[in-house]
Amino acid sequence: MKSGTLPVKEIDEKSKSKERLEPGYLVICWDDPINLMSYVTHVFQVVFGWAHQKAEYHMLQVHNNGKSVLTRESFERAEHYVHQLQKYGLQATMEKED
Amino acid sequence: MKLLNKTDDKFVFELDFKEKELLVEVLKLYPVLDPAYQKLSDSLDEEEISLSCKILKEDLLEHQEKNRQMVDEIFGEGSPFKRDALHCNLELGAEQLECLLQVLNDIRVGTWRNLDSPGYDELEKLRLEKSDVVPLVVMDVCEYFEYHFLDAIGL
Repeated sequence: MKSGTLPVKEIDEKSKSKERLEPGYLVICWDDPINLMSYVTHVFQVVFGWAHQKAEYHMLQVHNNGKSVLTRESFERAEHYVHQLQKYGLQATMEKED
Repeated sequence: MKLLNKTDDKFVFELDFKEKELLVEVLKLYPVLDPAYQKLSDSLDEEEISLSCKILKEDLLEHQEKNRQMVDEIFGEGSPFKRDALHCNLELGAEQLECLLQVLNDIRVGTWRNLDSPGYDELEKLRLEKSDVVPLVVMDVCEYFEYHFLDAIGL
């Protein structure tokens, strides 16, 4: 190993940490036949603080297209939102943006 | 069931006795949704998110426990029901209403999940078959109250 260079694992960890801070993670809500449309709208309003119109827009996207990308965030914030949505019983995941 | 009065932080509903009984009974089922059912991601590396998944599961369990406590408080000794001969009034604070919405939804989604997450058509088929109506009735009862609570908050 040359002096002054970081071990490969350390470089990986550093780049991963940096990656996690960047807003490259999508919070996605998926359609299901059980959650009520008005309930989903309500949850979006509570979790994201959105106005009714925006929340309803995303709810309709979920309903009509099978999913809606709700926001693009850093790893931790995306994780936080997914946790909040799942507490309400919605089917939400976080995915890395291509 | 109908909304009698609403202020910024208080809701008063009128229920008949059958509705009251149904609400109290269905809430006893909580929690139904298994926290392990929820997944954090479809595409991220499992190893990378294993800690997050563990935290998520713990978080959901803790949340269910908090909601259970609040439901017990709402329907405990200082019952929120005020009754006359034919009806009873259910008084709820905004936070309590929010909690009941989550709880009812957990019971609905959990019951649906326990039926192997049937699609729209499969649900209709189950209704027609009438072979196991209890879960379907539970889901319908939860939906009934959810609609009224959502209506009360303007949705």
